[in-house]
Amino acid sequence: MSLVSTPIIQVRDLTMRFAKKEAVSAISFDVPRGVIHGFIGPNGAGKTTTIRILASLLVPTSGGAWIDGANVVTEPEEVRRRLGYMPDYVGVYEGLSVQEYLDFFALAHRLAPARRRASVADVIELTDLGNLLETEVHVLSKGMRQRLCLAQTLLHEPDLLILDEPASGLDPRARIEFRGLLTELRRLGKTVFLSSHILSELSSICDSVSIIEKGVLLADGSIEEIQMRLRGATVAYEVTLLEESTEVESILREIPQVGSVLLEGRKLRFDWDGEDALIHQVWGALAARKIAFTGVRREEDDLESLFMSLTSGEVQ
Amino acid sequence: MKQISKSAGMGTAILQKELIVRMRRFRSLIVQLIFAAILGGAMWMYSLSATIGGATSPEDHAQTLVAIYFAVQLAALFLIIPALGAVSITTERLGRTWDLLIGTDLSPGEIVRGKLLGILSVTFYFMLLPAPLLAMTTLFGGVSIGSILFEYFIHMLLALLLGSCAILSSAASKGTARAILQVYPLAALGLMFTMGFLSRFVYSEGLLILDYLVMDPPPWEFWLVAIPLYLFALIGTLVGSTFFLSGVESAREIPVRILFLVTFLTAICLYLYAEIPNVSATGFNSLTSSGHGQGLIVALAFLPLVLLRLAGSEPRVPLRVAQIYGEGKLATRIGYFLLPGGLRNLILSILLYSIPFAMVLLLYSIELETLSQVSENFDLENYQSRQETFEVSLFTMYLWGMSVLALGWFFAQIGFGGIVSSVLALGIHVTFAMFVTTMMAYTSGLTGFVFLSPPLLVIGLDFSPTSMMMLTEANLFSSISLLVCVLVGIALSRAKGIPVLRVRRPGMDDLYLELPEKAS
Repeated sequence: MSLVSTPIIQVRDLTMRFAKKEAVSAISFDVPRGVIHGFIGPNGAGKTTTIRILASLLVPTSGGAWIDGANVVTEPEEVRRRLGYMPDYVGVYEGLSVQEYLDFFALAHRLAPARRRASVADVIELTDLGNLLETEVHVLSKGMRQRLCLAQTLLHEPDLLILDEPASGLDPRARIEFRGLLTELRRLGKTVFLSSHILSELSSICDSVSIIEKGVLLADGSIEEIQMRLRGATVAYEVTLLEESTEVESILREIPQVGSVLLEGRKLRFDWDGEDALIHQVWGALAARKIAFTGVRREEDDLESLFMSLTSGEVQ
Repeated sequence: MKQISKSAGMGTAILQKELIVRMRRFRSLIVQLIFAAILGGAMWMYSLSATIGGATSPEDHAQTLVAIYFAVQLAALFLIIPALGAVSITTERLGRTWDLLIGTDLSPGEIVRGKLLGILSVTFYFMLLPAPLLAMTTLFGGVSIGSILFEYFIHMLLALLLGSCAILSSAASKGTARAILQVYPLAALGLMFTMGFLSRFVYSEGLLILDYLVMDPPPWEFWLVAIPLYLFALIGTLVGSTFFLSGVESAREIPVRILFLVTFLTAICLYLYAEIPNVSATGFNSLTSSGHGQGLIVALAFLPLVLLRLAGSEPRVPLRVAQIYGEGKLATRIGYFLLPGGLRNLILSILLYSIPFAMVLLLYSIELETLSQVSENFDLENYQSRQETFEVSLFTMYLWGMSVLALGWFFAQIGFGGIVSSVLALGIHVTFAMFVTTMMAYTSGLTGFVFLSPPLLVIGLDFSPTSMMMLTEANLFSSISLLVCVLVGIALSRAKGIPVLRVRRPGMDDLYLELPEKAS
């Protein structure tokens, strides 16, 4: 298998027990390269534990995880070289300026002097910290600290970024900016694995998600795939008719792929079990009977409704 | 190909960061001012007292001023370095920068070295600031540049050791307060000892250390003991700090154990080197004499305190150790007993405990060979009776020490941590000793419970039939205790799936070392 096609994160039956509590229970998932993958779950679901295992900061009880082919247990140094990890709380050194902070971490990553300067300049440009270089890091706002920490994780040019709750505590503007930054990183070919419980943040940028609750992985894949798995092939459509019609119900029932039909005044709601490409049969049948409609809405489950339908809300 | 630099290898990255952070803080300015104020104040007070006390020669002034300066500097070192070192690692943990730091290419050893160099750089900066003024005192005579440089050298060595002790305390603690509370009593003891000696014999005479050494040179054996002792203390604290900062699945315990073994062997070699020429049945160093022999036995009674931590350490073999052993290298086979985990923890501690006993037996056999050379006036009968006391005491202490170690090992198998296991085992034996002492006070002599605390029995051994009976009971108690702890400990380990002799991490098979196909 070529390296490019190998998932950048591979997790197999990963389990973590702390004394009597099982924080993570035999979870398995893959994260392909070049995507933004959301790791979603309520507080206490096992997100941070999983992330710390992936960052080689914790040794699991059983199972395993691989970062770009390197085992997190047996090759922790290699794993740390291949990923950039941003913890849920960004600690900074009092007294260092932004420039010095980044220089320090570049040196700690053993970058050669020429590459060190180039890397620091690149991450400063990417994270737009150029006008804060002389500012001491401890006076930075939370949003700027997050940017700084993200810049730090990028210094050694890892292909994978693991970010633990990067958007928590940020104001709306900082969140939007941070989202833009993540999208830009994906464009640059980086894989971003981020945990969050702010679902509205994730739904707009994530290519795929894993949903975890009480240490158990409930769903994994793209949002569409999870939708398909949850409700099968059925899609609900809502049609707004131009005028009320009593025959519309019987017209739709003649089409085998149409499931339940509900008519309330001018609002028609029906389930479609067929392929998306065949939906034109419905519109054709309505047009043939001269039933005009002013609007059609395909009811998509968003990430929030998926999350609500999958999780029970219980915390470990 | 990524360009990699080796420059972070000696902890340069940490050193740079530490220097910037430390020197920029307002606190740094305050410390500098306090340091200058203390030194200036001491000098000023001396100049006042010298004026009041009448004029002395410029040479005397120069000597006394320099001596006062170095005495104050020494006291300042004991105050400042523990404070700088004790917060060095804990602030990283509490400030949540630790995860970022170990996510870099820096190893725990490099972090420790960087932190130490950071502390030393700041300290040396303080120390060397008044150096030009000190050099000028040589113009008055009475003080040589060589003496000043040597004094600096000794102070720097002391700073190095103090700094590494403070970092060890920081690495072993979760909180800053605990780290400071751990290191300051040690620093206070060091200060009392060092200042007591130097003030009494060196500085109060207007001398510096080099002058004192030239005037009254110690025997070369002193250096033979002092230099290895210093190196062991320094290396031990640095290795210990790295131990606390490495992951629990790392091979961090192996260097600690090697250091233990090397320290033991070196100390014993030095002791043998010093003792062998003096050992004789008639000499004052006779092992059967109550002074030397009993003193040695009491010293051996304290040995389990040191080794309990090793016996009671984590019974599970760390994953990295199991992997290294699995590679089948010859060194790991030869050093099997140095690998942590299982019954090896107990075997190694007993092995280390046995080394001093073997040393005593060696000295004893040499002493016995001298019996043929004693004069006719030598009280052979008395010697032989003391010989019996010595042999019995030695055997009893050896058996008792092993049972203490086995108890510590047993508690570790139950699941207590290393320090807790040691404290529990020690606590039980201290309780036994207190109980026996109380009973002896009530009965005004030996009690039937004395078998619980063989060291107390050995101290009061009189070879009466009762006493010998009790000695047998004590040895029986130690043997049974040793056996029960080992057997139950092994059973507990097996029940928990912890290998006793095999170098395998429990649950190792549950960890996927190779990538399996994704579960459906």
